Amino acid sequence: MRRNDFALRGLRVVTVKELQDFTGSARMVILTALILITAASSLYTATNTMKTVVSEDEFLLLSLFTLSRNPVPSLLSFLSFLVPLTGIAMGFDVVNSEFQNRTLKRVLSQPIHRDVLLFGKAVGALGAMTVVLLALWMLVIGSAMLVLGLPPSTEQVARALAFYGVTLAFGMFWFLVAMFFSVVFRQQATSALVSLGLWLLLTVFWSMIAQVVATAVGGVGSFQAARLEVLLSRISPNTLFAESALALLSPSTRTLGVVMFTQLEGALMGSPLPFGQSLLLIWPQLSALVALLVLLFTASYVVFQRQEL
Amino acid sequence: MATERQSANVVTLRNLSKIYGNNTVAVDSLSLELRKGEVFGILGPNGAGKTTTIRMMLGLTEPTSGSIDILGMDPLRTPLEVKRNVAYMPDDMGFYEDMSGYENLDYTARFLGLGYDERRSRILAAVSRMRLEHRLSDRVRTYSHGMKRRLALAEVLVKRPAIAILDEPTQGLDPHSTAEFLTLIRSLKKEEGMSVILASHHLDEVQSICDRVGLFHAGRMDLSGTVDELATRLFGGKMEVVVEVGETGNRDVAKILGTIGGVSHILQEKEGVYRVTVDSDIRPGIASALVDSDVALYSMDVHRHTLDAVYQAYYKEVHDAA
Amino acid sequence: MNRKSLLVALALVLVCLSPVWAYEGLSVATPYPSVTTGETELVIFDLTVKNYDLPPQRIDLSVSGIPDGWDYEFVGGGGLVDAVFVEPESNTKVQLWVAFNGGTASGRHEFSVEAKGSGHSFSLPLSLRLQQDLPQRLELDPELPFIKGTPDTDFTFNVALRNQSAREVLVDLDAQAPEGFSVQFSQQYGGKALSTVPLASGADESIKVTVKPRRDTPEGTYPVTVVAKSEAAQAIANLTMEIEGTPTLKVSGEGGLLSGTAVAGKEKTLAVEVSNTGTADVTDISLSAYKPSGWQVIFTPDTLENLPAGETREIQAVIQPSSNAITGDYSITVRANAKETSASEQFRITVKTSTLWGIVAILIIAAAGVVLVLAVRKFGRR
Repeated sequence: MRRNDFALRGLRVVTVKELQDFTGSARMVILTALILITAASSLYTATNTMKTVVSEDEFLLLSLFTLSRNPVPSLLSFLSFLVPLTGIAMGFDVVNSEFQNRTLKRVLSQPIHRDVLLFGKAVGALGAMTVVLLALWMLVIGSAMLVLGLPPSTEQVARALAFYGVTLAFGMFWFLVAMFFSVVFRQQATSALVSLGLWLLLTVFWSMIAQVVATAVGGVGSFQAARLEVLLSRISPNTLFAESALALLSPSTRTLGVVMFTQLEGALMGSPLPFGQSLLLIWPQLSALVALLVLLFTASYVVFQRQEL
Repeated sequence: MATERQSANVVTLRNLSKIYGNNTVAVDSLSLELRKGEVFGILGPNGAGKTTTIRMMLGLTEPTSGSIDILGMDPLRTPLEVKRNVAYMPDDMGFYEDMSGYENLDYTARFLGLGYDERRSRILAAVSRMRLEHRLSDRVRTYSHGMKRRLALAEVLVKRPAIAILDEPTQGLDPHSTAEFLTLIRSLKKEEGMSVILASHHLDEVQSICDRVGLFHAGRMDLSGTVDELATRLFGGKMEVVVEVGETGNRDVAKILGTIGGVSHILQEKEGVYRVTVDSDIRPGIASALVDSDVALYSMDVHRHTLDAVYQAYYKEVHDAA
Repeated sequence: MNRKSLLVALALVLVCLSPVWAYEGLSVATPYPSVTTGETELVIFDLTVKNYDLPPQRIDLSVSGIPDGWDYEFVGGGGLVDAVFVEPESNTKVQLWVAFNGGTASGRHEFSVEAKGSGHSFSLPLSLRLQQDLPQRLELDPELPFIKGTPDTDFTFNVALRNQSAREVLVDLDAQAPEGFSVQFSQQYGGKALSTVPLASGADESIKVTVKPRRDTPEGTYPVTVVAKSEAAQAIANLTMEIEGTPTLKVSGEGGLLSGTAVAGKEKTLAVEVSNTGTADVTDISLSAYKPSGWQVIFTPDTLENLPAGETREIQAVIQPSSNAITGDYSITVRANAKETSASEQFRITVKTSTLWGIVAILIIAAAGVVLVLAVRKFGRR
């Protein structure tokens, strides 16, 4: 039994509606405002720091993301905190609200396939997040040009764009996590709590757990323990994001994770890697993130499709 | 072709079964036919398989076995084409509360692939019929329950379907609105030749507008037809004469009644009151028979069997059998 | 005793003054009344006309007995004069300029200056000897005329320059050296570069001659001639440089490129050029590399028996970075050791990540995509 109709019929309608919901909801307006305000504050301090420190930084635009001065954290730390929250805020009720409002049956009795609704929600969320982050990027690039007085180099723009993509994927990961729970749990409060709990676990506690487990298995201070710790911490997408950000925003980053002393012998440190090499460096992280996205969506998809209305 | 063969039927279900994963049999070898322009009522207690059957017709649930034919189409093969021609008003319908009534209708209308003007004119027409035009741009959050029901029916109208499946459409409506509703369904049937499947617990309602009804029990619909047919099937006749007699002494009234031609069933309700099921109005025959037997006849009342009676009798019978 | 010595002194003064006391009249005096001169030279006599106890008077001056071919003038107070005026017991200075204008042969010529006052006159006899110009003589004397060295060294000769003539001369220094050699003169001490040396009569000066040969000058002896030239004399010093050949090894990448890329754990061939930019052969060259541990560098060939001067050999260096080398730049030193000399060069090897894992990663994504597609196929029918 195969579907004969166009499989994605109505996708555009759902996507547009979800996009309007995401961008227009009070929740998103508040979060976006929060992101933009924090971004502006950390950009302000970063540019001020930059003015006082006269340095021939080849990657000025990129350092806007990473520079910080007490008590304002860097833009990167703000992002790694707020982007997951945005994703969760968007996703935790995306499906179960349809159940709770009892709108699902009405919509699904229209000439669309059921999965189109899920696709549309994911695409709509992607669109909304793209727009919010794009606004943020404009802010950063604008600030960079204000400080520099000239447009940043192509290399930097490419790196900033790649980081944009990574951030988007990171945000989408948390959206999909929340969406998965919103498919699994009929109660919005449950899915919100579980999503936030998982976020808390992976953001705050995971590094501790990884450390404890690694020391327990490998012994204190051993190379194996360090390796295991890195391996374990990479289960958390936060680590994937942090490592990707590091490699993209600090071009002199040559390796991630544990390095043996012998590997550094003869290495010329401090020289930046070309963009392509940085990208190759985080390729495993990126592909893991993307594969996670696909699998998470698939999980939501299977559960949603099997659900009785 | 299939459509020609079943030209009179817009819906044909054959031996439809649905067994859920946990071996719950929701629908069991169900067969049903809906003719064009017919209003078909499906009745039955909760969990009898009504909703599952409706969902299978829309392709929202996949049947375990059996075949479905909606307007010559299989909802499993062409679910979108089926959904385009079948409107469904679920019993627990809801709307996007933060959107206006118009936006809600427009959203679902977009799925029909209609242009802006067409959508607008259809929505305005449907809404004015439902007397909602004054609240159209208000958020659904501010609507009363009855208004939401009317909005849901407006949505059905916007679709202009060949078949409308209404699940408990009058649930929670005040009597006035209910009456309006029923009038509307009748007019839809008459004016637009719409076929309607109506699931309801309000038996009088169903009786008043349905051409035929089907009684669901444990996933089966063993009984279907006009109310008269059902009554005939259950009681042997479509009418009932309630006979009230005086002191009978030791005369067996039931026996006397049983000898009258055309009497199919006699039930002694209480002392001196007998319910006699008949096929036609044979009161004169009953009267003369009783009088001939010297029984004092106090009153004699004839009426058709109500759906309610049929329903009660059927489920009592089913219950007793179980 | 005091009186006695006073008397003796007085007597002595009287004795000394007595001739002056005695003379009365005019005198014309000059310190050098007899002069030898060249044909082109102007002879100046400084005359002092003195009046001894005569009244103030004009004194006319003239020259008598001067042969043909000689011109003369009296010069005083910046102009030509014929007479002087002299107060009593005083003198007036005047010059007599005499120049030869051709004609009379050489020899001694006698003439006199006549001074004529009122009633007194005086005659000063002068003599001129016309002669060929005095021969000027310069001497150039190298301390060590023969020096050995390599083409990359400076050859420094010390040369003594002596003026063997009666007058101060200006000496121009010049040198003739093979093409491409640079020659510089300087003072012995102080090191200032010179090209002209003023030298007083009989004086000498020690000159340093620094010769820089061309770097690629082949083995051999090369003459350098230093010429010192004054107006009328010159001297020559012949110097000899014996230049020995030197082997100079150089290691570089192909086309001078000192960088390359390699993938971790993968062999990469890098062309290394070993060249002898010197002037003598290099023998027994062996190549080695200073590399990070876990790296492999193999040269083919790894030895060269002989590399003649000016020649370049290409050597294939197969570099295999350690399989756990991290992305980015590493430095490797390639060293060429020969019997005579050695050379080394740092190469920057950029380790790139293998794209193999990138493909694997894409496959993982693709697998996830396949899972999604399968899910859609299985559950997407509703």
